[in-house]
Amino acid sequence: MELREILVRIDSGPVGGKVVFTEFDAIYRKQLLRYLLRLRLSWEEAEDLLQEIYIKVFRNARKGLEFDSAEAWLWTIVHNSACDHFRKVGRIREKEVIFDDNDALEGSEIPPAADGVPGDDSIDECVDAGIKRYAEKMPARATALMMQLDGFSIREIADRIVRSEQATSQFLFESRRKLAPFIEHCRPLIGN
Amino acid sequence: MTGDNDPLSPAIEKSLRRLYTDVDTRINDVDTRVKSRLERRLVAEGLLADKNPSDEKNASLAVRFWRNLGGWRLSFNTPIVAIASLVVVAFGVLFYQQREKTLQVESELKAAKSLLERQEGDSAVYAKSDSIINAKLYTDQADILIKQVRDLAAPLGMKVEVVMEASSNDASTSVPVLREGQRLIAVGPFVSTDPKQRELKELLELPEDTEGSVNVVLIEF
Repeated sequence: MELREILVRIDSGPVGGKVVFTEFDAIYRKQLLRYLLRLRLSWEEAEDLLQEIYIKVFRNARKGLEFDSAEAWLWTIVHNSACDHFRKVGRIREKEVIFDDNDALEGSEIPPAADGVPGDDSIDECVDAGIKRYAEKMPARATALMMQLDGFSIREIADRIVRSEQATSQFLFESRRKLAPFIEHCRPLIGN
Repeated sequence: MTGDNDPLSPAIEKSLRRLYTDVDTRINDVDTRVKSRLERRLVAEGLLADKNPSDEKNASLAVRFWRNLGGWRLSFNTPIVAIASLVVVAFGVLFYQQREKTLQVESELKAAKSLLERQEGDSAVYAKSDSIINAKLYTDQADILIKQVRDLAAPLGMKVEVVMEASSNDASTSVPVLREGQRLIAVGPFVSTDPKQRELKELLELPEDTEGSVNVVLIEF
């Protein structure tokens, strides 16, 4: 079932909403949770935020129908809810958004590549450690890269990170570039 | 991701997937709990009806039959429910009208009593009385007459009230308008040409044109 159709049925009232809740939940709950958790929210934070997102969707379904893309509307809600949460807990400033070119979640300082990290004996272990540091420092970029690995199209990623397709391509390119310092030091381990 | 021929690409991909594997596993592990919490929250917010469609599937045959019967009965009886509602409304209106009429009678009775209390001298009383029953009755006959009037008036929705009664003590003082052995009763309202009302009018020697009023009657005994 398309999201638009789900929104129409949600809008028809709470009684018919029970079946449509199951539909919506089956399609989107895991996607939304995965997205929030990949942004390095704690499990409790992600679950609370998920409830708020569901409430917004069920309360404002009619508004969603006014958008050309219901998916874009849904992910705007998710994006804004996450931004609101990060502002509330002080992880980004008042006017910043996640998936920002200014690296709102990342802070100003990008750590130098860690060399000689204990335990980085193989390429896999080294990259693992680098990726982990990258995801902790730049969760929004790691999330976007993961979406790309999950097979999402640029259009779909653009909907989820609330940017234009062109800006999304640029964001992904920048994300790859910013990943480099975290894993460059693993290069000599190729072949181990 | 770092270039098509970059040997780091597969390692990065593997690492990213490994990084998020625990997330995906955890999401699957708590699937039902999260879903039921979401559902409860939406119900609490009034955005979802508190009835699970799966309840219907899981319900016993007897329960489902009963529910279906209930649904059938409701739809079958819809016109009956509508008619019953109209009847209830009609009774409500009638009750309201009756109540209004009662209040009106009570108000007229009070007005009659008040008017009589303000009069002075026998002539004033007689002037305001619509009827005088001056046949010399005994006291118990007067009581019987009043009871007879009440019995006739009650089925007609009329009220009868002894608005003033003179006694040997107050005949010359507190109730100067009445002499000892006189009672004033108020009867009304007369609202139709019902034969029983005519009977009442004849009994009380009231004129015919007493429509829509409370009449004050002097009973002398």
